[in-house]
Amino acid sequence: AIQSSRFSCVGFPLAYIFLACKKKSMALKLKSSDNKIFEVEELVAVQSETIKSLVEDGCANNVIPLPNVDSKTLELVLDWCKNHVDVKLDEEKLKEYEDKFIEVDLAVLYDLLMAANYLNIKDLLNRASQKVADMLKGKKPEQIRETFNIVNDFSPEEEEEIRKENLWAFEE
Amino acid sequence: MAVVESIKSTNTDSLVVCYKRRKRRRIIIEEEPNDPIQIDIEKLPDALLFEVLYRLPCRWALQYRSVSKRWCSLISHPQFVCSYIHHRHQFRKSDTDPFTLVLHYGKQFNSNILALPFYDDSGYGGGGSDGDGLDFLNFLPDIELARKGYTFSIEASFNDLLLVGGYLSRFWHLGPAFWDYCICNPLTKQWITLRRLPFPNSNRVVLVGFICNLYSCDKEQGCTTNAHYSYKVVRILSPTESNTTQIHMQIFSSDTGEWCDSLVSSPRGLNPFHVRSSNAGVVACNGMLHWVDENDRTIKGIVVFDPFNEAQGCRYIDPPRDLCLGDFVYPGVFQGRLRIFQKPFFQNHSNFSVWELEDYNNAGKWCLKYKIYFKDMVSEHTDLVKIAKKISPPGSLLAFHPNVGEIVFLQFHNYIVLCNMRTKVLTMAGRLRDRGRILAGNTSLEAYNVYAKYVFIVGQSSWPTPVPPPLKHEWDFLLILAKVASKLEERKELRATLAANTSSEV
Repeated sequence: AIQSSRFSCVGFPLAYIFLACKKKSMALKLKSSDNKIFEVEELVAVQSETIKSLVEDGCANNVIPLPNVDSKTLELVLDWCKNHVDVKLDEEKLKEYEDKFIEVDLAVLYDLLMAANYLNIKDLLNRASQKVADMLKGKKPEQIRETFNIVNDFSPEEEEEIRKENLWAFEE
Repeated sequence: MAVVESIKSTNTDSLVVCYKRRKRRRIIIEEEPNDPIQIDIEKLPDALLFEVLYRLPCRWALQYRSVSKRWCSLISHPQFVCSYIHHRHQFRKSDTDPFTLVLHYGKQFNSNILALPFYDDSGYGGGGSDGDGLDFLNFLPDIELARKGYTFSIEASFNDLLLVGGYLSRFWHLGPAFWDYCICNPLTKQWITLRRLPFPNSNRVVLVGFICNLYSCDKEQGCTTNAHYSYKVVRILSPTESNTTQIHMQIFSSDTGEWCDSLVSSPRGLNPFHVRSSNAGVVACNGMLHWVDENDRTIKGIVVFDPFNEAQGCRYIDPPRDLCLGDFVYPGVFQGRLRIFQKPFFQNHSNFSVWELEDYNNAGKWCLKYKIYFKDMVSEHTDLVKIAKKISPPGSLLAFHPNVGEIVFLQFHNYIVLCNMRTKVLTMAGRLRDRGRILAGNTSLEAYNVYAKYVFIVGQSSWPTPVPPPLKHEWDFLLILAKVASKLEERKELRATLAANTSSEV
């Protein structure tokens, strides 16, 4: 509203152009699981393939409910999307942003991963999965189980059999 | 009531920072009663855990098969290797792909293997640091026999696989004589032996070729997976007389698991294998096998054969016009392009040339890439310079560098040398040994001449090639199942979103 009033004093033609542009990038309303509503530009939101297909199907006129994403995560995800509207803009800066973005604790990373998958945002999914993979890498299988409370449902014989199949991978 | 949060396009990352700060505060509160917050990896749906796992380096992914049954089934899934390879294919830098240069040399019953790893970050411990280097292949059952005088030789390599052949002749054992071939992956130490081949009565020279047909997983991006492949081992029997147009071959096919005798036709009469053609060996390139046809010490041309399409017969490529009588010629390959290393017999061996074949699919045209005079070579190693400045310098081709077009591996007496053909700089890559004893660099014995045929580039695929390959129909079936499952999953999700959307509209 502030921006449009600034334009109104410039005169009719400019205001007209502005309105035309504004119409192109429509605002979408997204509702998080905890019922917060986020208003975002379409260009930002359609980086999510899930939302994009809803928009294309004409199902995005009202509020789009995202029952699998809470408001905190959605806020983060939308921030990511905003910064990826024009990827070619500044590669170095973008990389810096991504590195900073992904430096979150495990719980947040987990939420991001789930959201990126649900909303189908390829680059975010890629980045978050890589981050989790980097955290796993270097741990021994026993350490993985311990860290993530995974129950070993193999019998000792079965486990030995798997080790034998790829013995080279277990060698130091 | 819903709170409207309007997010305008601002290009700051302040949001991340302030969110993190808030999050941290929340965690401190929650931490008190519970254990430290952990990502509950077990709650991740299969599809997501799969996304994470194929991003792990291969060594870790294979270890994590032993974490639990769920992890094992995800990592063993046929789609896993495809995703793994495809993911890496996108970020591939081919000039640093690791590989191992493998040399097999020495007298028949006294052979050595030298394995020199390049850009290696995992896996192959270079054999040959001590002993005869046979440790490089010590996982093969035949190697113990080899140490007792059983004759064996590395016959060919394809990506990260080696074909090793050996025989027991009837004079050594009471049992029947036979040829034994074995395909192995030196990294994973997996191997299989092919069906035995009775020892032939005649003493014809045989050239052996080995080629795999990899399964393509993404044709658009040219990405292939080595998780499934078929292969052929081809024994080409030397023609018994010149101008032979029907060549006798014994071909082993992984599809049938059998050896098969074939008569392959050639548009031009071929000559019996002689020193030059046997020492040059068989080169696999573009899905074809190539070997040299020579007559009267002159290279007549290069024979091309597609073992996956026998009926088509052989093709013939004329050599570069500038070849002279007695020239040493070794065919080789650089990134899917056929090359020739040529060293003249006359002119005191003073130079060598490298040719590359252009327009491979049609008539083919040889293009001279480099012509190097030994006297122009420079090096930090005075020994190497001394050898290069000799009147009749010994440098002969070992192999073309698989990643860098301007580099070749040469043998300078007992030195293994990297020669940059553009800058003419020589660098030391290794030294030949005999039973662990380093051989004097500046002299050479006939016994340690390593012909290109006995030099192998063993690549290190991002995912090691399995031996043996899974059966084709099993593989196809699993892939189809996987695709159907993922499509169903996608539909389900979309439907759920749509349903949620409509219900809220009502």
